[in-house]
Amino acid sequence: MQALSVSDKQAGVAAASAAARKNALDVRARMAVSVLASLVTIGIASPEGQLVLFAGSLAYALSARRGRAIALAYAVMALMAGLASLCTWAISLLSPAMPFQPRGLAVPFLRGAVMMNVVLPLALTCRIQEMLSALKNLKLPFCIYIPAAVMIRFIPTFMNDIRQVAETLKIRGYRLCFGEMLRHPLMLLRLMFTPLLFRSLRTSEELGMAAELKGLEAKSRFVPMCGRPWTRNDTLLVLGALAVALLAAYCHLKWGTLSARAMR
Amino acid sequence: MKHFFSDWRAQDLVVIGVFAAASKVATLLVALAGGGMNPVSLMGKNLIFTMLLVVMLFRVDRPGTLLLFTIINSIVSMLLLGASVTLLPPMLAAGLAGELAMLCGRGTKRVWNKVLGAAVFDIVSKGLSLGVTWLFTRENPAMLVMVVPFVGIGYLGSLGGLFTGVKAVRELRHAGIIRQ
Repeated sequence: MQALSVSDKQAGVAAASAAARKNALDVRARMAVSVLASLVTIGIASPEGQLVLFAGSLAYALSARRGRAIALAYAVMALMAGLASLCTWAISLLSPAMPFQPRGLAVPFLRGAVMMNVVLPLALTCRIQEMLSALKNLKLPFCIYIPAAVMIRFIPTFMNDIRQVAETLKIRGYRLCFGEMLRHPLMLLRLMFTPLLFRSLRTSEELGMAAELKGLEAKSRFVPMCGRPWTRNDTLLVLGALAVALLAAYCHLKWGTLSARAMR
Repeated sequence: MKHFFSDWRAQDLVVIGVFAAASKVATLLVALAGGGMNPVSLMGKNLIFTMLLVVMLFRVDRPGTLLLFTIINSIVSMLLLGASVTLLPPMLAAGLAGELAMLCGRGTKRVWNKVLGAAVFDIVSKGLSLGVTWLFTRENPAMLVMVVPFVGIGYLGSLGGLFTGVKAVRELRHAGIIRQ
């Protein structure tokens, strides 16, 4: 009976994750939102327009339902913003030509927050296989697709390798901490990254040979393993992002130009 | 242009992809371990990036390698890691400048030709990145002033990376891992 209830639970979890995956947004749609946000946020120079972008992007980030990760990212960002404000204030004391203006700091920080909001859902919800399929569906040239796919595939592998190297160094008695890095930077870099360099060379050699033996070349055809169709939700996401961008541009033109001029 | 896109061996493309991944992971980890904006980690991450770049240029000995590496890094950073699209043109310009420098220095010794390409890429990319920083922080010029010393410190790391890269290549050649 116990086993039956466990299998029911497992079946429930599997069904829920399958349903979540079905409702999940396409990586291409998330990439489009990210590119659009990076373009619009540069163009808009007023707090009014940036606030609209921030509100829209925050709603999008919260839709990923990863509250703890988002809160952590905001905490780190707040720390960095505090440090930057402190440095700017110190510069204003040294150079009166550059006065400290909290309002002038708002727009650069909002730009950073908007970019973080659009990147977090992409980073937190997409799997490597989905990213590779999305890259393939973008119909990039062979010489761009292969290195990009290899790069995305090997980033987690290299992270794991570095973790293993760090554990090996700990076993041998090296202390890997911030203070040690400041005291012996070159030694630590050498100990950590020489194995990574050798690993990169070895991996590239093996993978390159495998690619040639499999007949991978510019004219060969690839079929994505799990091609995901573009759904109505994806279209709605892109249209929503466009609407927020237009609204932000409207707010900037209507109320923002005067305040942007006042900031300068 | 068509020739550039179609005339690559799969093995060379894999090497470029693996080195792009290694440089991304290594620089990210140094930045995280060093707590972000401290001078040692800034120099360290630039040193590692340039060292890997020099080794890769020796491993894939053909024109266009630096440009392709830059394109891959920029596209993946832009689409998946959230780097701004505004960084793409400066990085492409830096890649092209590095390729041109290597083309102009063809008569010199091969070691210095690659080092020249990496050095030009580093300085042009740093200079143009400051231009992009101005775009982001144009409302508050003091923030740009704050960034300039950090970029300068990072560039010192890149200069160190040129020398460690040459040293690494010599050792790898001695070990028979790089054959050119």
